[in-house]
Amino acid sequence: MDTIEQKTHDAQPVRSEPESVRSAKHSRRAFLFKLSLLVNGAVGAVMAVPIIGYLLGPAMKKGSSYNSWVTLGPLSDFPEGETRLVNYRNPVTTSWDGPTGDVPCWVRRVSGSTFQVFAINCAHLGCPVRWFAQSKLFLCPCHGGAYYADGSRASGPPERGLFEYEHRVQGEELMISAGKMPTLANQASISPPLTQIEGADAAKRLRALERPEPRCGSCQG
Amino acid sequence: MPGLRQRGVKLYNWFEQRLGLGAPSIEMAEHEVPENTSSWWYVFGSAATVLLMLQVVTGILLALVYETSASHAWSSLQFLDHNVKLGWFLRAMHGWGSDFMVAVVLVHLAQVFIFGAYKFPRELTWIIGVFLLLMTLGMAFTGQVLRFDQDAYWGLGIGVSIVSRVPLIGGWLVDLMLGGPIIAGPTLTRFFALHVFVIPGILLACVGLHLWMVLARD
Repeated sequence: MDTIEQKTHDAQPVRSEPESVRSAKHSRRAFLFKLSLLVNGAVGAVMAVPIIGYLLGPAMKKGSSYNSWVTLGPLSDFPEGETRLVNYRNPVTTSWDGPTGDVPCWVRRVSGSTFQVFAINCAHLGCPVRWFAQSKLFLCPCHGGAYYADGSRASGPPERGLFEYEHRVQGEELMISAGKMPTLANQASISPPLTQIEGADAAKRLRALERPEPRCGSCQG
Repeated sequence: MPGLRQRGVKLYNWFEQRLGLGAPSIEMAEHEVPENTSSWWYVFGSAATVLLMLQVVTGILLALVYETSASHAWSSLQFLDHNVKLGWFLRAMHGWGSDFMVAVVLVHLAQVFIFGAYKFPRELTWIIGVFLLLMTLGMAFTGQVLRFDQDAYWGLGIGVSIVSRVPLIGGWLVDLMLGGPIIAGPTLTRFFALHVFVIPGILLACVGLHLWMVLARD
């Protein structure tokens, strides 16, 4: 084998190879070997399609196709000016999901039919935020993320306000559009940070923040 | 009993002629090392291997009882703790073994680094070793998910939130990790397959390579 290798690596034209070596490269054995590689490759590719399709199945579904309208209960469950924890059964479940198919969320009834429904997951790393009625803040137990009553970011590591569910009042029921766990990947609207230390317009930004207008960093659209 | 002994030798030789594994194994075991390396500093690689073997054995034993479903995983572990004889002990061994393995692998890495044992001709041994550390951490994370308790659930939430920050393909990776729209049944079965089949398969193959290179270089 060494002599063949050296020969082929030489700068000399291929023609100088001995006749036996040249014919060996074009033998029936070499042809069938290449053909079998090709056939095996084709079979492998055909097998790969269902395997990869199966593996990627959950990721190929469009995010919005998971969502549907679920009820959170009658409006009378939600006193005006209060924020309450509600559990709903996720519209997409398997029969073996158990309690993991139940998803909690925070419902804030501002007044009348004006609601805000927040995801339980902190916008930082998804930990469950808790509403503290006395301090009127949502606080995250993991890294100290804090949000105002309207879900906008107050402080801590989250780069935006709480995730909000689309909601509507139907008859006497509060409905939300739910189905998919909210993450930055599917709800990526990043509001500007509250305080910007660098930059020339820092003072202007701070002044703008002090205006009493309602801020809603996470409201979409 | 010379007859029995003779028959034993004959049986060994029958297998040895066909397998040829005995002679090199004995040679490896008897291989002499320099006097200055007969030190406790070199024990951590072997310690990690022993822990890995323990994890494999206790893991198989836990799998005899564990139920891979989101609705029953936690209660099957309660059953294991309280109704299966010594179940609590094996579960504790697997859990503590996991902690110890992460610690011992880290100590092994530190020792190899401080001694400069990653240098030529052992670079590839080191590189595979780093992958072994990553896989050990992967085993620890996927293993704690299988408890499917509050820790596991919110731990997955953190994992998902981190993955969701990957540019462009973040959302796609989240779906791939969860196996569905939320953390639920399909998530648990995915992590079970990772913890029991995928990562251990690659891990054991890499340990084989790692050991082969250690023995080939000494």
